[in-house]
Amino acid sequence: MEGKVISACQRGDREAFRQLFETHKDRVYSIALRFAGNPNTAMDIAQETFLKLFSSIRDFRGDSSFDTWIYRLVVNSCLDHRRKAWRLLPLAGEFLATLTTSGGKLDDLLREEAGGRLRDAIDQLPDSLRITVVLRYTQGLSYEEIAEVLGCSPGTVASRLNRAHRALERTLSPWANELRAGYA
Amino acid sequence: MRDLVDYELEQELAPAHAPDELWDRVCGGDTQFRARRTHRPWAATAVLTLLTVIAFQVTLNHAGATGHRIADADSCQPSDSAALTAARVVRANHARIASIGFDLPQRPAAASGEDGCGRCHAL
Repeated sequence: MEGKVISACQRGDREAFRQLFETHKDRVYSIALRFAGNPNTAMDIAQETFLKLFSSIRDFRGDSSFDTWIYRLVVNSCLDHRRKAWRLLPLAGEFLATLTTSGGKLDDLLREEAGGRLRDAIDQLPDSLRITVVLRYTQGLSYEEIAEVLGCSPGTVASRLNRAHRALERTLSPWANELRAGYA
Repeated sequence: MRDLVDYELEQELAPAHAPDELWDRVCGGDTQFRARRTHRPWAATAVLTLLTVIAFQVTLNHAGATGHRIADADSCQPSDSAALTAARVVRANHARIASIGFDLPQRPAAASGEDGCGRCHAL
C-alpha cells in the first residue's frame, strides 16, 4: 500500500504527498519535539524534514525500509538544527516556561518538577546519546532498528543507552526519594 | 533507580500529535522555497538589464555632449542619433542574460577622404 503511495509521490502526485504526510507526521513531529524539547523548534525541524522528504523522494530506491529512511531524515534534521541553534534560546525558553507555570496541587507540582528535571537532564546529554534515547523511548525502536537509522552497531546503541541511563540517574538521584513517594 | 528512570523517560518522551498547521507550514515552506529558487535569478537579471540600459543611455548622452557620435557599420561618419528599441531578459543555455537593442540610422558610405574621418577613407 505504502509502496504505491511512494511511487505516486515519486511521480509528483500532490495527493500522495498529503497521504504520506498524514501517515508520518506524528512520528516526525514526536521525534523533533522530544529531541528539541520545544514545540516551535519541533515545528521547524518537522517542516524541514518533510521538505527534504518531498524534494528527495525520487532518490528513495527501497534499499532500506521507508520507515528507516524517514527516521534518518528526521534525525539528520534534528542534528543539523542543533548545530545551527543559538545556544541561549533554550535558556530563554526555559525562563519563559518558568514564568508561565501555573499553580496546582502539590503532587502535580512535584510531578511537573520531576519532569522538568528529567527534561533538563535529557537536554544536557550529548546529541548522539539524546537522539538514541528519543528513538528508543518516543518510537519504541529496537536496538537493531536504531542501529540501522543511526548507522552504527546494535552494541553501540546499547552502550549509548547505558551511558544515557547512568547520566540521567546521576542527575535524578537527588529527586529519587520524592519521586518514589509520589508514585507510592 | 533504573526502573524509575525508564518510567520517567517513557512519560517524558511519549509520542505527541503534530499540530494541524504543520501541513500549511510544509506547503508554505515549499512555495517559498520554489519562489526563491525561481524568482531570484530573474530579479537579479532584471536589475542587471536596468543597469545596462542606464549605462547605455549615459554613454549616448556623454558622447553627444562631447561631440562624438556613434558611427554606423558602413561608414565612419557619425550617426545623428541612436535610439534604444528593446531591453529584456533572455534565456540561453540555462543562463539568463540582459539583452538590449538599439537603432542606428543607415547612411551611405562616404566615398571620399573629405567626407571621411581622415583615417579610414583618406587612404
